[in-house]
Amino acid sequence: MWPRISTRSAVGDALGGWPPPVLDPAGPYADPLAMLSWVLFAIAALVLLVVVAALWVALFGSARRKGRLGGTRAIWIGGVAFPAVVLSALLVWGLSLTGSLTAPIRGDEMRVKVTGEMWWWRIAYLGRDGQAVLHDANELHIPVGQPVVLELESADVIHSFWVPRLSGKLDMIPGRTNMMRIQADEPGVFGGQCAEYCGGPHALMGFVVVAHEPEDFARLMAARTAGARPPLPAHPDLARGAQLFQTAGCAACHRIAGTGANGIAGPDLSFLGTRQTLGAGILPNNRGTLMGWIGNSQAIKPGNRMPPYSMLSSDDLRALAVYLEAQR
Amino acid sequence: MVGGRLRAQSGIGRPDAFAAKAVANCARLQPACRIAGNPQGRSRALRHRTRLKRHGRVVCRDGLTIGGRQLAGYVLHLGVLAQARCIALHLTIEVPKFQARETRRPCAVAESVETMAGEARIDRTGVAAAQRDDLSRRPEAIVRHRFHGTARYQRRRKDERRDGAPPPSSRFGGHDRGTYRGTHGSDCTALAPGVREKGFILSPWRSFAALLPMLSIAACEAPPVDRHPMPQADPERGRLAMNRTGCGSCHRIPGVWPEGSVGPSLEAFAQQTLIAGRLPNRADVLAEFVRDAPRYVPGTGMPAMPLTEEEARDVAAYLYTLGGR
Repeated sequence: MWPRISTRSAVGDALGGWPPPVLDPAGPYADPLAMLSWVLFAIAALVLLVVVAALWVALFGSARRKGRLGGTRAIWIGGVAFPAVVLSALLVWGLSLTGSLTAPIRGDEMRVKVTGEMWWWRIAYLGRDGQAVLHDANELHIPVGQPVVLELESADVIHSFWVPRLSGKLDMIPGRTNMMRIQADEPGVFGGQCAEYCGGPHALMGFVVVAHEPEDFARLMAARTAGARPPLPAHPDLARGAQLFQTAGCAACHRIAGTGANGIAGPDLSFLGTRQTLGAGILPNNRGTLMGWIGNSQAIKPGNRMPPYSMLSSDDLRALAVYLEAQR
Repeated sequence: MVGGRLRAQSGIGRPDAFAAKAVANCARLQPACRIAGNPQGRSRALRHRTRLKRHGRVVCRDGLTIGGRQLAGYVLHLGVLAQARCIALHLTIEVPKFQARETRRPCAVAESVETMAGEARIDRTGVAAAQRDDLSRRPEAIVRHRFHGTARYQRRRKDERRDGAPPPSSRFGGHDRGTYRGTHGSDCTALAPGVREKGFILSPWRSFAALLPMLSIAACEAPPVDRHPMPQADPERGRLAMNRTGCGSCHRIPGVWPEGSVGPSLEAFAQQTLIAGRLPNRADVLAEFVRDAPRYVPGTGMPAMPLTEEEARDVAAYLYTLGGR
């Protein structure tokens, strides 16, 4: 219906769609926005054309045309009637088109609380009673084909939640809860990005939305909320990694469900091994990037709240990475 | 010296001698021997064009060497600048900057030009790098050689010599150092105005045209991947693969994000002698190492990376474009 121009890139796809492509809708809450954008582009191009034509006439046209262009009638038509009609029509059409985005929330949708932090996303899946049943960070799992309501909050400064392929953007304002709906029509990975400048590494504050088939999603949530941790694979570095996680200070800020690590200052690492990305959406998740992030995340995302761990040896880094990879 | 590069310039007096040894793979895949032969009347198209430039790469079949270095792979610039009455071939080789006491760098000295220069004689050639000087700080160490003479002239000189004539003047065989910046073909006086050859009389204007160089070959600036040729791999694909796998979270690599500081910087990797301080820096070793570092260097902090064999080759090709010149 409208051109499908995407800003996708190979690297973005490999990173779970980060940086996220725009104008590439994948759900009912992003479709109207893409359509509205294209119509606005087209009308803007048309208006530009008319203005350039008028300018051309004013410069090179015959005296008769110039006179007509500068007449009262032309000003009434081109300066008042045309903008009034076009802009009013656009306003009415735009509001009716995007009306579905702000329709009242029914209340029976799945709810997730997303809290913007400097510079990552705290995610809590809410139960029917509004209580958090599962904590995670930087990666949001949703079922395909049904709207998911997000309660957007901020812990510090104003952030803005934006998954261009699934919805428009909505600010996260300290002391306020903004409600937003997203929905994916097909399984996939959709990149998101903070869309309101929030300090130093704002540009590196990304995240990933993963859409599953409903039955896969139900299985995933059931496994995670049951609390039973899958057995850790046998690896010589694993025990050492677990010990280092406590002794090196990681546990002071990070939480791993089912262990003594209960820090809440930083992202929850309970399911780090399953994440698509590291560092809030910006790096692929593999052992190398994990070691690089732990070793000196300040070189990767300058200004983030995690200090560099230059006192760790390569064996320590590997043991920690092995341990964290096993958190699924 | 431009941009810190050493420029050794040599001239070739007899084009067919050169052509016999090297074939220039030009834009239209025209061998140098043909281009060089053209001015002697083999191609009408070239003869009548006053200005023609082609760029290509030397595909050296018979082992043409300069200073013991194969010319294959160098970029060639061929230019026919005026009508084909006399020929001057210029061979310019631009080689990477020399470092003091560095012996591993290729050394582009015009030692063996003599063999292909026909009558032109080089008594002594070489650049200071051969004496282990730091050329990067001695621009005056540039050695330029320039030989001029037409094929016809040389043929005539040969005939004269056979007939017992005096040897050619030293200007066709000498060499100069540093500041010699002769204009194109300024020595090309073989055909004086009014000389009659095969019924062709040079008008003053034509003789002026004949003073311009007819054909110059400049082979310059060795391609950066020259030391580690990987014709099957694509550096750009390698760069993308590195971005995709996040090599930048530990290494500083130009063109790859981010710029981590956990591992060593790879900014001048092509000049590095060892990989991870242990392995020889060879293309095949590198392509294996980037996939599974702990297997080759046990205890290294670098883990195995999720790269396919092909991606690993591309990555190696990209790394060899870094700091190669």
